[in-house]
Amino acid sequence: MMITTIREAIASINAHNATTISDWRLVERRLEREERYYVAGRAEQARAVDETLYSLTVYVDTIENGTPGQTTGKWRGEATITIQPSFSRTECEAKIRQAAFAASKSHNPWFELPGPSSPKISVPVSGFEALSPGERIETVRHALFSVESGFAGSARINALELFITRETRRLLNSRGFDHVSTMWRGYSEFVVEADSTSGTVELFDDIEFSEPDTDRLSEAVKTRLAQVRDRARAVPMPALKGLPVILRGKEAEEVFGWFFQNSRTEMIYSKASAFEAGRSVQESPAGEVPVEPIDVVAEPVLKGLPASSAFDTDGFPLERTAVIEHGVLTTLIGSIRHADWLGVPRKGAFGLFSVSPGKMSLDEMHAEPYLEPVMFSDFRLDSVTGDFGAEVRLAYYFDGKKVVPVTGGSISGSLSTLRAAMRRSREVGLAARSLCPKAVMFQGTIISGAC
Amino acid sequence: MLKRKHSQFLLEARPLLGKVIERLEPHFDYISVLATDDRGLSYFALPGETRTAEPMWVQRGFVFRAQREGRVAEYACAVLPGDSALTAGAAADAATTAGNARAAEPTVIAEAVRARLERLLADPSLMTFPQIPDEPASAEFLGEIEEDPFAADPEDVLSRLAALREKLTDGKVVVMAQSRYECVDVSRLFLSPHRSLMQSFLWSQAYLFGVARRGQLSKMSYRPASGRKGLEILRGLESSVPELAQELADLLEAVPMEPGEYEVILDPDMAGTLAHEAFGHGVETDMFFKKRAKAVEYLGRRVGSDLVTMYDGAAGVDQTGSYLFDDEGTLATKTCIIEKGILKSGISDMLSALALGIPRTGNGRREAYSHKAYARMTNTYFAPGDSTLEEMIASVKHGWQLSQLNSGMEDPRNWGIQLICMVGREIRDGKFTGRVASPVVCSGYVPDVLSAVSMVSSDFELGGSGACGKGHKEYAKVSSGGPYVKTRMRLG
Repeated sequence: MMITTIREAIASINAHNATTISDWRLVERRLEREERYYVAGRAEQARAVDETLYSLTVYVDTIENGTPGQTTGKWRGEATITIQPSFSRTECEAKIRQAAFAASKSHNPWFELPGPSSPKISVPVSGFEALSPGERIETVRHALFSVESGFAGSARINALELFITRETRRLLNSRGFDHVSTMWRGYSEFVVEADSTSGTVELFDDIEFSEPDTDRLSEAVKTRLAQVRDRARAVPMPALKGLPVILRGKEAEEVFGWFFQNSRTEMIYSKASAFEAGRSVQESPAGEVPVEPIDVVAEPVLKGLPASSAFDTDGFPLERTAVIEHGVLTTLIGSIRHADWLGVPRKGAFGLFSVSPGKMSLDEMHAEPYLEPVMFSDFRLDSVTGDFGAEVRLAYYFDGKKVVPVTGGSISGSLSTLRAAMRRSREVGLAARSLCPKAVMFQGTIISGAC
Repeated sequence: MLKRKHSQFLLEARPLLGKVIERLEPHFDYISVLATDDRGLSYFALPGETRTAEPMWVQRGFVFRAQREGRVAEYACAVLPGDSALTAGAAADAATTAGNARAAEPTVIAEAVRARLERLLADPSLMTFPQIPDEPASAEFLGEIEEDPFAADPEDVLSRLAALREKLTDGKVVVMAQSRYECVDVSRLFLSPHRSLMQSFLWSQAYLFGVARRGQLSKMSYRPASGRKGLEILRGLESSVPELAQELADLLEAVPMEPGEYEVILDPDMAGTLAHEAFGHGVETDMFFKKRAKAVEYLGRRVGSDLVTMYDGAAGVDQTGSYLFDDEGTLATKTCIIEKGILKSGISDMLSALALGIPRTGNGRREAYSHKAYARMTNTYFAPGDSTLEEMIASVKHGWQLSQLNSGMEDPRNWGIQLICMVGREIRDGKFTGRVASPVVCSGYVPDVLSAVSMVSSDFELGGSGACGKGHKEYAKVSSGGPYVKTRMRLG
């Protein structure tokens, strides 16, 4: 109903307004979400959410034809607004009219919206579709809590939040593109704890999922329960110099994601990224040659991850695309408008990626002394500079003889200098938005001890 | 000054919602509704591109909260259920929202809401809470600004932002700059059988970012501006360009930090974030309820030096974390968390306050109507002292002045602290050496860091350009700051 109202409002504006809407793009998102908040195994409160969101982008074109002092050409301005489902027709039309006016005041190079097209890949139907709301919550809740008993009280779940959302998304535009997709987005954050001689210690983690993959869910909690038990006996991290640092899981994904992010058309067009097509992305400022050149592929679908999609947000059909090959940026991915402005082929904006395995196994990485942080306060990697750092909540320190859990202190470094010598693990695994090596190892990271 | 206006949508929905609440009241021990209508604007000036959009905080919807036999449930919706007149632009004619609201049938809506709440309350795993109070109250607030962004010509705003980024970009050192302005016109209505509260105010934030590059080496820094203000916040950014350009040039010469413990002077933004992360999150009483906060064992005990006094409150100061009432209908207060080094009090949401039997401080906040309310900070700051910044710099034997916050993170159970900043300037024997380090990761044990506070400046600045998450989600608008603070921290 609202989509019809919006279409009619645009037609009315174009019939009566001084500013003409040349093109438009509309996204309708219908969300049904069940939420549970568990404290010590009991639900604090129950919540249900029904939400509908409309995001409309209007494009207004202008043509300047040789006025002295001005650039000749066709230009396109844009404005994006939220249409609330409770808007009346009058309210809707007024807001779109304001957006058209705002769009007429921005002045960007022209680009063409995608027209109708068939998907090039199919997104598998989620296993959640076959479950009732009660079964969905209970299946996931059981998978997350079931591993707790294996720890016999030495480690336990303190609190857990669980969200399961079914989203029906319709993307359509003025060029005839119209596609409906259904996606499932599961999210759980959990706090695990264990008793130490100086009190209770905790670790925090979260997991995103689109399938009722009980093994993956259980494993995530089990890993953190084991780690929090280690945190309970961890000693302050000593001052360590010159030791390789191994980053795992989400932090390893952040590192690989930096290469993916900096290959995006919008980053390169704005000069936020220093990457250039056809050039190595792993050379350090000192000109060091990469030890292990990286391969990165943009992925439309990775089973189990919520960001899987057949089309990007502009409606461009996605297909697997090699982005970085043997350490060299070969194909730019990202928004189609920036691709046009850069004069490179359109590939679309992907949310997912994969990275080729490295040559070292985890066992080989662990054969020599190392520091392996597995939980930070908040690992931060700057998408522009590549600078990273964080306080360590739990790390494993191998001095060549024994592995000791340590806590406190911090690590920092920059991919701009460390990327040439970085090593990837042979083992790969599913993370939040990628399939990538489970570990990355750096030489030269700054380690600040806790004592 | 221009006074804000309440949302017309909420004004017109108010009588209908009042009737819905009336019809729901007999079925529950407690019932309330929060209705939101927050609109907003975002303007971007990027290299070769400008555009307008809306901030993530734009929302319009309703959340009903019910309690029965101690159990609590919430149902959130963008459109009132069972109300065809308010559904999805159904009125193809030119009827106003007011017309729709009047046409809606409160009994139908109430029954639909009740059905959803009943289903949720039937969950046998739900724990019980003491009765949620519904003390009589009626109040309203309208904020004031100077330059109304909704009345401004978009071309003027984009031109001002484009001029900012062009002034910063020299093409030699600073290869890229972008600027951004956004505002949210907040409008909230809270109704229960005995409470009727309404507030409307506007907050703005703006940023100027720059990237300096030499070969493959890139460095980034920024200047923010914020407040419960309008477009007038851009004036501060316009004057910051020369200083930011120099800072970006300095960052290209930055050295890695030599790990160790140092004397540090935190600028007000860094100091405020220390307060926020150290004893802001640590005293959110839903953390007490979950037994996740070490602070509960330290109430009434020393956690910092005599120079440390710290507050949180949506009342008492005017910044982006200020409001009249929170998202659970509790009126805002100002809480003294630490007084002269002694931990005094926590900040609470409704349910944790009831469960723990502690005062309600008006800190129950939601990212949006569709999100749960948690105990959240508002404006969090250290109280000023009596030193000058010059005296603080002169007192440093070897240390660093830290500025340009990147991020912070709490550890309420184990009292670790993480602050990351982009700029550290070395001080030796009371003078800047000219050496710059970047990035700088600051860590430590919270009571050690606060006990080492040896000087506090008489300055007082609050910044509200960021957002605060609970864990890694639930973003709420907050501010933090206060004076410059001298302490000791581990840097790396």
